[in-house]
Amino acid sequence: MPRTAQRILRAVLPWDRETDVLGDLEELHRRRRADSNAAWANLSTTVHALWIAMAFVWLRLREGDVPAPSKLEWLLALRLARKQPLLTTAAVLSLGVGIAVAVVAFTMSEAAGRADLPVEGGEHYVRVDVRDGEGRPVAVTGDMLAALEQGSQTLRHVGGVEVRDANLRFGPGRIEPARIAALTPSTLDHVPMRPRFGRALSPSDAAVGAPPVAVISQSLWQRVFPERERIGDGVRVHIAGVDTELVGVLPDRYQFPAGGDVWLPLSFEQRAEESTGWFAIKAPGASGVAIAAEVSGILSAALPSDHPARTAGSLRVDVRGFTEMPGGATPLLLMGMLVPASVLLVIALNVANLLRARTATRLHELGLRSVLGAPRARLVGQLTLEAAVLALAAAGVGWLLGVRILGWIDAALLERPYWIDFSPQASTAAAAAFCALLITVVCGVQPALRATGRTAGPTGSARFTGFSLGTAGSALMVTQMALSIALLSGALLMARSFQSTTSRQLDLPDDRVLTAQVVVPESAAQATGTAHPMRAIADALREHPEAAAVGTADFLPRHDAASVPIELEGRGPLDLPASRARVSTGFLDALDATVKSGRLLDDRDWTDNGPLAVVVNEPFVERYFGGASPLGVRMRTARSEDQPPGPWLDIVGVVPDLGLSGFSEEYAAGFYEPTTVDRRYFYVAIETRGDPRAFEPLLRDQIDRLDPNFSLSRVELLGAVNGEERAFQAGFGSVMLLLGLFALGLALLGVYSMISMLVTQRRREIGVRLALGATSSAVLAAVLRRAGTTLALGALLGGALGLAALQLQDKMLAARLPATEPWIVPTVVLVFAGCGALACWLPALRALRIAPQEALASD
Amino acid sequence: MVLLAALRLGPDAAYAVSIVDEIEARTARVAQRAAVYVALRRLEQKGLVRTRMGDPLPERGGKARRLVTVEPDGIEAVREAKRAFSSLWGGLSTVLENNP
Repeated sequence: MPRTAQRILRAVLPWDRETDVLGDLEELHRRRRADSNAAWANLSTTVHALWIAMAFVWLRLREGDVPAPSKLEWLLALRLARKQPLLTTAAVLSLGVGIAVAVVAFTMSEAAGRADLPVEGGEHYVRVDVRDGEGRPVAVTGDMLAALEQGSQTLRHVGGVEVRDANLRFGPGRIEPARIAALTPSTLDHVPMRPRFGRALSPSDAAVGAPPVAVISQSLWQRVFPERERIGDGVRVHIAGVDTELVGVLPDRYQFPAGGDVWLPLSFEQRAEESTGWFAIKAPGASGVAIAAEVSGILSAALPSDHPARTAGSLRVDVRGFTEMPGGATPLLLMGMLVPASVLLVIALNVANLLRARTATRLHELGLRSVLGAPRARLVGQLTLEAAVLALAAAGVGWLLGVRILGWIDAALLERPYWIDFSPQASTAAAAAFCALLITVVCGVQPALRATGRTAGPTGSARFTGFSLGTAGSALMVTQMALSIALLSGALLMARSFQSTTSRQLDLPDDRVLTAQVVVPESAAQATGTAHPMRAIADALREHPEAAAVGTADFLPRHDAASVPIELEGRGPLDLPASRARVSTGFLDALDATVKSGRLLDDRDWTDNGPLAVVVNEPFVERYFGGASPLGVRMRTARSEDQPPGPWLDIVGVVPDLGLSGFSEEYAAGFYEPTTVDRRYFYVAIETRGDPRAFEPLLRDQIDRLDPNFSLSRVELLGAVNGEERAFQAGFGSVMLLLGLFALGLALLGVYSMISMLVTQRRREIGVRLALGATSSAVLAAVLRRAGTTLALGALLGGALGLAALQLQDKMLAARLPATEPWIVPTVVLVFAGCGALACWLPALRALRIAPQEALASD
Repeated sequence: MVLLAALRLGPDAAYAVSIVDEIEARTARVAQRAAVYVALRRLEQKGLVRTRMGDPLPERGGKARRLVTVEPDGIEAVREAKRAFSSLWGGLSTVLENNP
């Protein structure tokens, strides 16, 4: 019979039932062995043992064999916690941190994975994604929508929404950025707008020829018209250049189907944009597969004959819950719950080892109480109660810490779906309570059962078994050590990356340059006729007297510019890629770039057929030319899997490192290429003559006059670019470092406790050996052999895990961190080994100081 | 069913394992061994059965069986149950034939 099954039953069976029940199970196990293979028989027997154990526990509970803890026992448990402040503090803090991590992960996973729309019947809302045979989004016409609404059996309603950023002009020189949401008015039958003032949108507002109207959020209304209390007639604004009447003010909590400041009616009389998002309310019982099949059929039949999708194969329709995260999120969410739960379990098991070590020092007390008649259940109950006191305190600490962390995350993650709420829920408290229960079982019940396990001695009297770590306990200690080393290694790498980004000095006019991201809607690019927006914006702003220099680019300094393979004429493709930023005339002037050699880009370097020259930075020269002058050498982007080689370009100038890499100096080598390809998202940089912040309203006004369809976002000084990401990296790195040090400290505390416990247990044996002439080295070897093996295994496994973690970290993180530095893992392993040796040495010294006569006299 | 199985097996052969085997063989249903332990415990507390330890056996790793003997009160309880079932069964044959 498997030993696990025996241990399970011995832990719960009354002593007078051990023989016959174990005998029954042995008989059944032998039958199973005869009928099937050993592995299956062992598994079946173990499961069977669990069932029988549960039945006997239930019996004992029903029969009152497990008494409720008395007030005195509660007081004793609290007194014990007070008497051992170091152990209590370590246990409560470590468990509290573990619970906090578990609570945060659980709440975030719940919020992200299972949240429904905060509207009536929100769980029935679905997103519908329609693409042609080549995977391109399909533009839906009004006829197609009408066919869907009339012909669908699986959908009760179909609606659309377009969200974009635009400028709100409400007076001369008064521009406010706003998020615009265009919504099908028929949706309001299901998600009614209840404005605070004025009226909601109606279907007639979407009719052809209807005057443009909009409703506005209350917070935007108060910013734009602070002097007005109510909306009256004739309040007009320009939204993306369109003169629009404001007809209503909505409470800020109205955010369906996407967050917005202004709501417009969406009309499908013309062909809708590919960027329109589709959603629907499914009929009761309709499945995603049925909806997709029906929608595909109806839309295919309703496609106009000249619709581009006709020639691109059959339509592909994908249906998913409105709040459902895109494919692949479920494993991530599971990982987000399992990893913290595993961390908490490892912490709890380590604390269990500490508590077992503490219990080992009380074996005499427990034995005496047993001899005086205390049933085993009572002793187990007391030990469990002591663990429960710690668990409850840890749950309280963990819950408070978890709630605080959730608050920070809630404040930091402003860009998230509005239905995701990270505020503490009842489930958060339930998660903390469950953690406390788990800890009580792991740290209290199991060690108590082990400590009070009975074996009949040679005289027939029962005595308590001594404490031993056991294979499982040792394995857990090794696991925790290994995880601590891996965690600390990763944390050190992150701390190094933060240090490299903050210590990296870039010669940039951080306080004199205003930057912004410009977004050009696709329809605007087609309809307004603004050619080459990147150059047009730079040219328009350059004329302003406050602008000293203006340029546009696809990446700003401290962004991680695109990394491209390159080749130099005469040398062929190079092994290491370089960073590339595509810029307009004047961009490098706006950055006040110092010319180290050659010149900056100018109008000679642009043609309608493409760029002619590039400017490289000093890290590029150092990497590819060894410091020699690159002027006159030609280079191009090399052939890659999806791109042919680019044109040959002359290197005409060298500038300092201007931050083509946000985080790592390894990717700092790069070049600036004149842009000839228009983009929908790009950045503008303006070096101003005065205060750059004062230029922001002028910037918005100028962009709006150039083309009201352009929208601005992320308007900030050059020094603040990518600031949130850097701050997050710094914060995350610091937290990881603290957690790593904490985990390592806990692991070392576990080692210290284990050795101390062993010395205490083997005090008499050590005394006898010393009295018989054993040398100090022999005594130390006996004491430290087990710990040394555990430490060595933990260090080896931790080293391997640490290297793997660094490789994984490098791939998973979006930011490009410094290359894995080879010294990190060996250093951490050495520090760990040194501290571990010290943790073993101190209690081992106690063993050497044992006076044989005292040890023999003690009991 | 536990009492009936114990009666069938007799005081020298009735123990938890054989009782479960007997129930499964006679009723063609799976019996939970854990439930049998609970049932035997309750029956013993009510005085309907008595248990004693048998001899150690090699096929059980040298461990003894806990043999079950049905006490007179237990036999009387079985008779009562039989009378009650017979009373309830009375007249149901026609009903069962008419309701397939």
